[in-house]
Amino acid sequence: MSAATTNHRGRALLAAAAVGAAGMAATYFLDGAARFWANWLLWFVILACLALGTLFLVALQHITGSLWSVPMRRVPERIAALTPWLVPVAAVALFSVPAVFSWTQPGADAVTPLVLKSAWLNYPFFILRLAACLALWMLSYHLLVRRSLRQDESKDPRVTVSLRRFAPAFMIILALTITVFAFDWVSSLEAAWYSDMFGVYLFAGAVTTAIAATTLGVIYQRRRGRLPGVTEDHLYNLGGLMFGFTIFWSYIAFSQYMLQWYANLPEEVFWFQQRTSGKMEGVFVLLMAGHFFVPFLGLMMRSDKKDWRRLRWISIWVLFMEFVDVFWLISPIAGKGLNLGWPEAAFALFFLSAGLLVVSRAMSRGPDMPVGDPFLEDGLKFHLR
Amino acid sequence: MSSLPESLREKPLVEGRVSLADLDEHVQSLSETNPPRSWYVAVSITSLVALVGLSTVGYMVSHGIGTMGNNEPVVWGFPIVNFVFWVGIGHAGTLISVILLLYRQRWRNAISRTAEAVTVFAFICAMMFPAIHIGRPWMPHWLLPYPNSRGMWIDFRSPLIWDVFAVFTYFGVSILFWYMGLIPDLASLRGRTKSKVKRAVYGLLSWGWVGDARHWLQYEKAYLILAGLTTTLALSVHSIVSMDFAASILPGWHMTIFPPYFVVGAAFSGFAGVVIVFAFVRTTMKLEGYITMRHMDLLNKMVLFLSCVMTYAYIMEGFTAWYSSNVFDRYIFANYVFGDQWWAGCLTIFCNCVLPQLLWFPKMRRSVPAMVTVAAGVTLGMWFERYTILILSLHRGYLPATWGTFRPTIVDAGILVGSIGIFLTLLLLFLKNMPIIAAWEVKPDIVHYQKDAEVEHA
Amino acid sequence: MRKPAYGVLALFPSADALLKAIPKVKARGYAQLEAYTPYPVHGLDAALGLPESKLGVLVFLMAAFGAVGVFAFEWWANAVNYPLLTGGKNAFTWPAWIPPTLEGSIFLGTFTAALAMLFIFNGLPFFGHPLLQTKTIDEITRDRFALLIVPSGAAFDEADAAAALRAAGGAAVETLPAPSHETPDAAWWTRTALAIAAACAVAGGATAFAIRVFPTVKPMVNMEVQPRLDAQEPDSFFANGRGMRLPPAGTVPRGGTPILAASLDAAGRELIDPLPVTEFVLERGRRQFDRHCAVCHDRLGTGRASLSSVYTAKPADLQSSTMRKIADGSLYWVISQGYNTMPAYAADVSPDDRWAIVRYIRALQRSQDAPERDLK
Repeated sequence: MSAATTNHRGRALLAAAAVGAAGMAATYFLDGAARFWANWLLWFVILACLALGTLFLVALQHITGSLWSVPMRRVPERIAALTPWLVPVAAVALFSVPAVFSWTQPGADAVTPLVLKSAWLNYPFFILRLAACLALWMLSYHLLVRRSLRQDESKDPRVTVSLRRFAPAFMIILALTITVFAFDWVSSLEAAWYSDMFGVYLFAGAVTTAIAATTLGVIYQRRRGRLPGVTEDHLYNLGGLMFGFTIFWSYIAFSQYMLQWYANLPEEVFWFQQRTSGKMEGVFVLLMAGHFFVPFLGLMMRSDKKDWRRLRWISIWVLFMEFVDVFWLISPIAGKGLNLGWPEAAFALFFLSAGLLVVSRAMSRGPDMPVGDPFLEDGLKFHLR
Repeated sequence: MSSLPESLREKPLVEGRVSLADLDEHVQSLSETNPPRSWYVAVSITSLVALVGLSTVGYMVSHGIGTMGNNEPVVWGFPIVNFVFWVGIGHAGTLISVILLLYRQRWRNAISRTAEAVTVFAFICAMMFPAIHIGRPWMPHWLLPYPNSRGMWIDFRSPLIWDVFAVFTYFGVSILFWYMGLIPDLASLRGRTKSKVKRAVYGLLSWGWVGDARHWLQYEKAYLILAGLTTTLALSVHSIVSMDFAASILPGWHMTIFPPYFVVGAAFSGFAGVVIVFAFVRTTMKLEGYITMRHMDLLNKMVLFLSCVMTYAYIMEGFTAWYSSNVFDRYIFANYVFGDQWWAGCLTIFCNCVLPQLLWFPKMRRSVPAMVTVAAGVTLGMWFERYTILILSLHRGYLPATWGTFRPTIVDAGILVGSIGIFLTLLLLFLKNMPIIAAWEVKPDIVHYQKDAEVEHA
Repeated sequence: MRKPAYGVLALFPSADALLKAIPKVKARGYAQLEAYTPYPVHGLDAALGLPESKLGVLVFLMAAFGAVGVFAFEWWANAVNYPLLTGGKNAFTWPAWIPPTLEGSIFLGTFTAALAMLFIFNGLPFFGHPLLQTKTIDEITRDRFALLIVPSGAAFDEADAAAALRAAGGAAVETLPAPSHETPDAAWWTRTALAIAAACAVAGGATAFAIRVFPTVKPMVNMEVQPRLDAQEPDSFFANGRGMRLPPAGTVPRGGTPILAASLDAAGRELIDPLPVTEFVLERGRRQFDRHCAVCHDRLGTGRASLSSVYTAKPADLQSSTMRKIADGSLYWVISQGYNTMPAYAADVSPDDRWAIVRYIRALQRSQDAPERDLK
């Protein structure tokens, strides 16, 4: 690919982002702050899920010592370049807390359940938790990805040893931070609601998304000959992972819904009522059918997971479903009914093009494969039996 | 690859130089020779214990469930604690054998057969408990949907009915999977045995297996499909067991995290059980060459990993109980660790969260006394976890007027100990009579690692 | 006539040797090869040109059938055939039906995978396989890898095939005779069918026997055998030797109404239906009649319901002319007191409901013998 096309594409993305930004500003003034913040939080959550999910995939490879994923590891590492950009997005998002979070609204101090949890849900502690999460994510990004990038030159196998050592620690960091993140930034929008599975729910969605994004990246680069030696068998494994995590997400989502639906406790079930009644019912049905049945049936057979065209469409679909999922979670705060219109399109335009800009910049730097990893050769030799 | 640091080098899964025939000689000859006297002693003891347990069951059935400690608030008592405990142990085999197969982890090959056996035997113990505690165990068909003169159907909305379906399906599929894996080994036994009768029996049981390449192709496909379906099944079974609790509205039971948390807990206790079994089997049966320290190390890593996930689940439960700002939830969780039976909750946390942290040290993962201590602690801790969830939640419900206490009786203890006897007896019989290592799965590994050794040697 | 041989077999010491031999043997013009190995050798299916397994498709179909079947049955059983509303939900409680659906699907899927693999795709059991008559099979299931040349065409030369195998590195070359019977013949099927029928007969007989004997065995009788007096039991405590006490004269049960007529005919003269003429009363009567009476008298009152055959005294035909002429009060009296084998319903059906039943019986009679003006 020539530098000219890259520049051309970069300019197009910049222009799209600018249009999106204008639409975002218009949203704030024309449709009100709630609509603006709902969309901003939606994309904050999606970006964070993507960054954390890709970091998880990288750490998963180190922790299991799997070989097949080594040649493709650079793709999730590069998508994880979104991590530093979470800081400005989060900084803006902090202004949404007094605006839309139910525990900051006037009268919240008269609601007993909210008062009882004010030790956790108060603004200073909330900011502190966000800062801690961001710091830990940046640290993890640095330790997991930056060192791996530097290994390209040093070719030092000891880096692999220390990456493998850090990976379990990262898993603990991830488990705790993504839970705090899920409870703070999604669940506490309706502070009266609670579900102890919610951290796992967001995690399952995040990993599914990250696998889909990684698969797209791998297919994109492989078609351009940038991943020589990566075969259908490697793709098969990615497809298998996507299939597995689709089932995992569905399992978590179903269990959470079914248990609260079954018990029918007013303090829990109102949350699902908001999200399954009226026009949101359509979104709910789409989510059930789309997030589960499409990837499940689409990736079931062995040959399906080797077919890059099919994988590409299903990956795009899964990414769209992550949007639907987070939309389903967050959008009810912007008001009753289905909040879907040009503001959502503008936000999508801005964050997609800006995100693509970040990722494509990361993808244009350095080797496309971890050439310093001692297991690269073994990974390229991988084939299904 | 000689420039690799020591920790990155792959250690072989088969130690020493062995041929394919040696494996058969080591493993399959066990069913042809007389076991040592210690085996007879062990089997006598365990079957005696099993007998005591079964007699206790008989006593309980003829005298009624009033002989157990179950009472009005604590209606489920020991039988369900034991049921969940044994179902949990029973998840080891599937998870080791099946999920690791899907992820093409070679180290499962040598341990899968025995782990599957552990599953089947644990399930036999597990299924006994709901059967005996329903009060009229001779009416089990009432659990099934069959057309009857009452004109009614069972209520499929009841988690207890889901449980019946899940447990029976899982039991059937575990046996199926186990038996399917045995077929090529039975064919191999057919070739070894000198006795004509045995040859005919093995031949019949292996359906005339000849190792045709076309058959292997279908066989491996079926094995993978079974693995995929059984993974989903294993996830669903303990999830459904958890829904017996979580679908209710009792404080301490109604938790959305219960399904995955129970599955992890099941795998946790299952892996711990398997560690104990292998720690004894590999030395007493001289199988160190096939079930190596690397196998044990990996098993212990799984125990450690699952312990961390359990800790996460405990933290989430405790946090959410507080965060829910529901006074009943807050109370019940405080009651777990500060209430009148605080030792049950504290023992659970110590055994499941604190003790396994020892396994972060590689030395501990490779020391048999250390790993057996941790695994035994985990097994105990997981039993007490179920005790805590069940009994400590039930005895403090919403209405203080209905609060009560639970005291297990000698019948409870007899049946619990008896179930351990049943399990160990079946396990000992299996170890003596069946090919305890899946030869057809380990043979390719032997070839693989011997080849590596030759390359390095050359 | 001598049957053609099953094939020519040679043994190889390792999987690699076998894989290397296959192209050599193929190069000599032998296209139809079979291999026998102690474990699945990867690459063998490609070398032999075996097609991929179709097992997955069958399993998927069966699993899907299991899912749809179980879900549909749950819906039919719990929402249609015996509707049961629980937990404040509506009838179509799909989330609660998912778990059994999943189990049903997995059950059918797994058993299909294993059984279809063995018995359909692999054609087992095949005890007539010529390898099973040899000693070689014992080596194959241990550590030897066998290649078999299948005869094709009339010009098949065993010696040349053996030479080809030897040249490719094979040892212990032998010719396998034709299988004793490749496919089961009609006699085999007859024998098998008879054996299955016999097994079914024995199992059926045993089940029938068990059903007759087993219900009389009660493992636990603590609920029935208790230190108490049951109804109508004798007891020496009281002078008249009865366990039960008669209520004092003139006792009226709480909530009960005494029947103020001495006989059937007196009731017909004296008792008067107190209920208003409303649709509600008729509807109430219909429900009570269907619940308590229809099981013997039939829903139309013909007295020919399914249970009627078990009684020696047949249930009355409420459509008969006698029954049409009998007074309302007499019907009420019969319902309350019982008649012949018909038990008294005073304990189960409230007075108002009894009158409603009488009203409904009248409606039934009219419906079966409607005068012409009713039909207009």
